[in-house]
Amino acid sequence: MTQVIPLRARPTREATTARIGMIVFVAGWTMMFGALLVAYVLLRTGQPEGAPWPPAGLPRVPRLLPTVATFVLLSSSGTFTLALAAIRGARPRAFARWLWATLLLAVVFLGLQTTTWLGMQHLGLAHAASLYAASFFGLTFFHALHVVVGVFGLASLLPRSHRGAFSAHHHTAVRSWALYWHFVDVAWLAFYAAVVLW
Amino acid sequence: MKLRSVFSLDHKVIGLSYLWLGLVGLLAGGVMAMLIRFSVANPGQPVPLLGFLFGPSHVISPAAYTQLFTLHGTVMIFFAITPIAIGAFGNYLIPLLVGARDMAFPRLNAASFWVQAAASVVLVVAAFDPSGSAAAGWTGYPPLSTNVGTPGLGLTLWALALILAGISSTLGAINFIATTLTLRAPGMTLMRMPLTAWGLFLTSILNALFVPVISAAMMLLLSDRVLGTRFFVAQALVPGGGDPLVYLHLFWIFGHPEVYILILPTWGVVSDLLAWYSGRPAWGYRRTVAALCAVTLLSGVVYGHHMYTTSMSPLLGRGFMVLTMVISVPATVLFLDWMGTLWGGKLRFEPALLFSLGVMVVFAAGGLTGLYLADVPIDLYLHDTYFVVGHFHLTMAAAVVLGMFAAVYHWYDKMFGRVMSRTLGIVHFWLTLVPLVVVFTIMLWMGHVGLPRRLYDASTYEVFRPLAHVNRIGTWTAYLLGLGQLVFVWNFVVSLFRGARAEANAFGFPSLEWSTSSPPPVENFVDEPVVVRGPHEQDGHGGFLPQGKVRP
Repeated sequence: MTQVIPLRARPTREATTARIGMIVFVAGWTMMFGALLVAYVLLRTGQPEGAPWPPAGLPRVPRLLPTVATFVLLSSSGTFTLALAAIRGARPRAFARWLWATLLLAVVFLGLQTTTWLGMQHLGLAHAASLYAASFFGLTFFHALHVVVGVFGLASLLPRSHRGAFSAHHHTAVRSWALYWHFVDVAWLAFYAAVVLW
Repeated sequence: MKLRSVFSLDHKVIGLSYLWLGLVGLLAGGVMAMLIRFSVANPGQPVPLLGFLFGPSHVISPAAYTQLFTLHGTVMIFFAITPIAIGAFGNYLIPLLVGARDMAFPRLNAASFWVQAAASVVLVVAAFDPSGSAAAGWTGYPPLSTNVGTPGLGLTLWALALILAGISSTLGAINFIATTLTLRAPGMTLMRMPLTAWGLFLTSILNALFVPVISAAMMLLLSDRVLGTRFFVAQALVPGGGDPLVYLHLFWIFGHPEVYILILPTWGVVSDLLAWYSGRPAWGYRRTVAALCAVTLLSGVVYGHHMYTTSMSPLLGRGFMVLTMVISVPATVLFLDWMGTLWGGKLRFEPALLFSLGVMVVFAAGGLTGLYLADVPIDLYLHDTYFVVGHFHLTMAAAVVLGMFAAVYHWYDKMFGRVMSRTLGIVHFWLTLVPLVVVFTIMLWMGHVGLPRRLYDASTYEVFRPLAHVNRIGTWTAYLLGLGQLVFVWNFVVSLFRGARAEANAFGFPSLEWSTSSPPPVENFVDEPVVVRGPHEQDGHGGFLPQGKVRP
């Protein structure tokens, strides 16, 4: 059975309201992540002239696992975009499939992060030992908390989709979580550039 | 009161809950101000009446004095002014002013209130913590606020309370912005909104963007205190340490917008009330809106003027100086618009108008002293003196609190369906304005002489000993101010029970909330109002035309 959907359906007032609410929320949270990033940059540039980073005697944060994790998280944004496209095309089964893929990638990301943290402890980078370790742990852990929230939020969409709560026109919750998920993704890119690459 | 109304999702009930919470905070912060003033004039003397708070000796020790002014600032800003100006009036008025049935997200709104209530509980626990309350000033600068400077649970809980209050503010801001943008009644264009709604809307934008920044600072501070990290412990002190200045940056990136967060609702309210009580349209409505927007934009890029003395690059300091002074342009436009509104008007000297005029007086004084502090060379001398205290009390405390009193007197009828005593309101006004101006002018004067702020006993330094009598005058004036507030408390509480029943619109105000009953029914309006004109349009006989067509 095919369904004819107008290309640009006018959003309902409820949908617009929810959209604006989510945009304001993400804007505020961007400032919070931005503030942490500013703090990191100021701390890092405030180190004495010529001091090595990482400080002498400390191992460097491994780059391989976080880089793999970055690609995993980026892909999850992609799979969720496909999920959103599926719901717009009124294909609930495809939606569920892509949503499962997104969740899987998110869990893999968290697993990779945990492995990195454990590996760092193994290398002797206890979290409070130095600014170097603390800023890495602090930023990545704070970000991971938001990934966890996202996993629960995205998972909550599955039973609702199963009940048929979303249609091609009405899927405000999906759009809101999509915005949140992309935000978490972009925030990670910024953190990755700051604490892993720099 | 029924449980259903305690856990209500109705914006009016939530607004009034905020009002009570804020008024209790204002009372607590006010009592602390009295104790501070007592100690300033009589350091080391036993406190009458409330002495039991300070142990068996009944004396405010230097440590207790530090805790007092820390708590006074924190309570007044985050637990008195914020819940009243934004929580109470934002929640109560925005849907009514724009013609909506409720807020966009009623549950989020209720959550915002309960998180704020939880924050208040945490702060009370922090204040009475046996290991010592927070004692690093309301700004909580490290290293004083780290475990090195202030050990104990008090400051940790203080930081937690600020994070909770911040979450509450952010949730509220999301709601206010969404409501203003999408739930306006048909015909209520943005440029037909009362200026009160504009002030609250712009405040919400700043709240949504900048409160999360202080949350980030507080999280890092908590991490330092609880997890043992050293983000804010100087590198020079501890190898592997960070930099206390980083906290200052984060704090003031939030802190400067915060003063506009607090004053914008007052500016909006005053712009409306001056028009409505002088029987004139708001002069230059569009220009006023533009000025409010300009201040909102500029407020985000001037925070460095709090940090001139932190060995900031002179070039950067000059940039911040210029940007700060530029703010006085829209502020002056706003002020001239107010004068233009009053010009030739037939003023009705109700308490609401008197308090609005009071805002003009203290805001002018506060704004002008701000120019001194914006100027780098003068600030280097005045920094950390009572001049700063006088300046921000005139702007943040006096102007904002007078504005909130104006709003209470204006909307009390609507909120409670009762009428307050006009005579007592006028008595309250004079007992507030005169002592406020005197006591804060004394602060400016003493700061100009060089008296450092937060000093426990000025007579420690011989040079300040001749100021002792001025300090005493300031303290007695402050007591008068405190007594004057009892008139307000009496008027507010007694009118709830004994006040005459309020009519729906006894004075012919034009905005939408006056076209519904006092207090309004659960969904505000019987039918959705249709708005046909702006908020200050006149009928040609000295009265106003109602904004909307509403079935009575």
